[in-house]
Amino acid sequence: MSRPLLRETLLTFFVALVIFLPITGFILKGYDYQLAWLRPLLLAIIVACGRLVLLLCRRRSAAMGGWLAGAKSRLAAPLQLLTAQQRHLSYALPAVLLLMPLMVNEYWLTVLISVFIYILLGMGLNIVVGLAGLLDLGFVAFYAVGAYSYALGAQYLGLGFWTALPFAMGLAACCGVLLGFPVLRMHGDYLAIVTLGFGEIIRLVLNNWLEFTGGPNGVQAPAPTFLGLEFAPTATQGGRPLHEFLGVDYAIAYRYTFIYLLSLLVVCGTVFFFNRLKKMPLGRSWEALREDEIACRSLGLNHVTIKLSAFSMGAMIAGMAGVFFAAWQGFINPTSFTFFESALILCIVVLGGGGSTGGVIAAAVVITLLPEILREFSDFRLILFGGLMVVMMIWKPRGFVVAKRQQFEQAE
Amino acid sequence: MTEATVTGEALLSVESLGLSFGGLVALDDVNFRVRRDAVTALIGPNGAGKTTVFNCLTGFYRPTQGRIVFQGKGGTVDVVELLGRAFTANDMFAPSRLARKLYYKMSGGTHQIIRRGIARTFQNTRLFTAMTVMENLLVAQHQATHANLLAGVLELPAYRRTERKLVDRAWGWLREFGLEKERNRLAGELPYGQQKKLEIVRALCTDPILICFDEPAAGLNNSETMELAALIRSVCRGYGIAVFIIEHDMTLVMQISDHIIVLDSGRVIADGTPAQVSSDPRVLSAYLGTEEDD
Amino acid sequence: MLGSIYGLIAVGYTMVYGIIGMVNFAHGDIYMISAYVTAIVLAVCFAFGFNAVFLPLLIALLLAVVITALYGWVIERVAYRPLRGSGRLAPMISAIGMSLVLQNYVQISQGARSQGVPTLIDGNLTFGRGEDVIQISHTQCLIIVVAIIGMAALTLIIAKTSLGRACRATQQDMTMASILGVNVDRTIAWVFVIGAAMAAMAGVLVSLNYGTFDFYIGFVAGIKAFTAAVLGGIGSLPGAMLGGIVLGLCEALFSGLINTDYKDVFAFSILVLVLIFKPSGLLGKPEIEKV
Repeated sequence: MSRPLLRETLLTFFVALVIFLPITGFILKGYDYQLAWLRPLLLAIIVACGRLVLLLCRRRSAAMGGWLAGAKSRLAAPLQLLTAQQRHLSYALPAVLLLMPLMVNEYWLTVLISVFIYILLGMGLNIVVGLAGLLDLGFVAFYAVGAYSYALGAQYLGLGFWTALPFAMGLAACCGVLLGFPVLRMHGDYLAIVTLGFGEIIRLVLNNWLEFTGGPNGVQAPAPTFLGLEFAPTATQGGRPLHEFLGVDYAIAYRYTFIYLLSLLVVCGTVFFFNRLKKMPLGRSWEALREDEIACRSLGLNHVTIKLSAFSMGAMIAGMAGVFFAAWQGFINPTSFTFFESALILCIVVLGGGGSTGGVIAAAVVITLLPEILREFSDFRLILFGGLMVVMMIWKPRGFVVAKRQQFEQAE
Repeated sequence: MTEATVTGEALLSVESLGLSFGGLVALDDVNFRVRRDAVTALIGPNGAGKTTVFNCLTGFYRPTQGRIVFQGKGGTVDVVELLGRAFTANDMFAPSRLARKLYYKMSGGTHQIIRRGIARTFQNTRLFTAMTVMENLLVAQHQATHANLLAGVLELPAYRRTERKLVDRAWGWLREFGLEKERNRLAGELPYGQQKKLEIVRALCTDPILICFDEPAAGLNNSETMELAALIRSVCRGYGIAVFIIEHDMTLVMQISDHIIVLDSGRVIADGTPAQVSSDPRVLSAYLGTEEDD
Repeated sequence: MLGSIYGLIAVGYTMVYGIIGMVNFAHGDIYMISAYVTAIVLAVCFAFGFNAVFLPLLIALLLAVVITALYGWVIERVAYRPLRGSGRLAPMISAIGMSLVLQNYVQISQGARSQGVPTLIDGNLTFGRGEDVIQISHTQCLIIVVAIIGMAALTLIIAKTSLGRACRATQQDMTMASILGVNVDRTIAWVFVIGAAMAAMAGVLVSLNYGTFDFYIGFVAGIKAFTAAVLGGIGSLPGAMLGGIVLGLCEALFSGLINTDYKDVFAFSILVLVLIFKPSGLLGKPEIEKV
């Protein structure tokens, strides 16, 4: 091993050791502490090895490049097949998912519902971040507005699921516009902080306004109904329970199945809507705004309405997701709407590659399913996601899936 | 200066335009006119305020005084008023003026000016680099698009017809500038010369009456500059779009322009035909830096 | 008092923003790490029987500043340097990722419980007589003194040393500074180090004053410090300090006079209002849009 390489590695090792030593080496116990020597040492060794490997890779970058190209070409064939079959896939997948309730148990059904909700949220944020390029860190606020307006609407106004849905979407969109106004003149970083502050304001209000929102104790949200049929053991909303109607025993699975199918429908609709939107004048102007706001203005585009429409459209989808979340959980409280949730949604969009539909869906699936599969590692989930965000930005800032652009051919 | 050369039909007239940033006076009592069927050039040494004038015309800067009257689509407008002026105490006693200011304040802005028919390009190109060439041009035609969201989502026939029309129109311009092969490439991937051209095409797609070029020939080689000169003349002659241009390349300016305005330190020092301007002693002194009495 | 803490953290935001035009999202978490380091150093000191007040305190301050500054340097190296010159969104997202990593790294290694340090300094200074008494604890005095010393040192560094000159040059024009022989990479790294050191001071002081903290404090403190930086005019050092003090006072008044539950809401509302009405802040220069 050459000397600079060795020196570099050793330096990394010592820096890592110094950094890890206090935080991981001494565990605070009240005013006392407990030693854990091994942890910082191990971490430092891992980091140093990682650095060494990276350095070696960089040195042999030519060879690595060749290997990477080879790997790429080997991967290309199946990928091409996949893209060629994409049309069939986009029909087959919903069909398979439609039959899911017959095949899996309740547990997996609820997992899939949460996947759908995250897909919806990812789509919504994708409009704001991926297409319009406005970094929104308080996206969870609109999700909360949706969920709470369903739960509180039912509690105070007696709104049912179907009236609450458009009401919540409208309210969330209004909130989007409301947030959009003050931030119109700001560029990226200010915008991020203000939206972050906005998200926190909403959460704090929900947490502190005891008389109205129930504070940390949360509120009950009623189960949805379908043509007057209810999915509860006994009728509470003036309809008939489904199991009585069908003459079978009550099971909570009916409720989940119904929400599952409904959210599947909504996800399909949103994906279709999103894909169309990207090719429409509105979607194009969002992307143009992301690329260059001054150029947009020089072409006669009203950047105010374009920004606001992006905000409200994204917020609307998040509000819809919120209603589904409340209806599915049956109970909501402010802990479901913290900044971590916003970060998670942002992670979905970043991993999926801004503006790409398939990428966002795949990322939502991975991010929701991963912690379900790796239960033991759930503590490490967020650290992993955080690290992934850093690595993605450095390595593939446009995400794994690069959105395909519309192609134009000459008219006949 | 002879006023005779400038009469004709004034499309745009700038009257005692002034702009200062803090204490710094960038423009001071600038007056000139741009004719409807001519190529007008704005020249001057570096830092004379040329781009500042452009930014005032196209609504990116708000002048501190003066008027910019433009015979645009939908009648005569004052660009400065369209931007929305600051309210003053006097407005409280003149309800109609107050109402007018309020209206422009709410709805005005740069985009309003462009919609009246002024298009521009930028000194450093500002293309939507991650979008394709065709998409760049479609964004430029946003005003003509089908506004109904539902019609677009469902791809109703009316929506399809409009989109087709816009694509065809963009196609026509692309062919004119020899860019039709590049339509599906990302704008950022194009070589520099083509990016410059694309920006001009994009400005043309907004269907302007007056088009402002900010140093279109900067960074182009000789043959590209000659090609550009021919294109600019054809824009003006063939399509009847007035051209207002800032340029440093004097051969290009002398070759294409009908009328030249010379700016120095925020003031107009000469105004006339190429021949008149090139023999003006004040212009020579501004460019060569010789001391001379005003 | 609280204001000077915000001010110290805000300095880090302002410096980083001034020099590379990005909001260092992980800055609040650096402050959190400093609080942990302080607690750990103090615990170790007491375990070895240093029962005097000032020696452990001094050691804690020094170690916290050094280690936290090292964190600042490493974060810049790992998460931001590779992204320089790649738009605004990418470093921002990377910073959010870094913030998540730091928070959860501390949570996993130290547990989610809130931690504490023992009260080291007690006693009050009393001003006035009879009914109108203002009491300021010694810890609070210490905070104000240390904050003033820190700020003064920083102002001196920026104004007088060659590093300060390099910082100012890089802030004006990064390309030009590098052409003229300023090592831009090193300057930016130093800015992160100094910012982290200031945040570290804040961390030490706050852990002394409140006694308890958890891995989540960096988040709220980060937003508030950013508010302070914006309030004072982002990019301006005295502005950051002033903004911090104004914000701290406003918050104290608000929670004293109106409602404690909503004091965070109030702080965020100030941020939004400032950005709407005076985006350049109290001492900042207005930004002219370049076309």
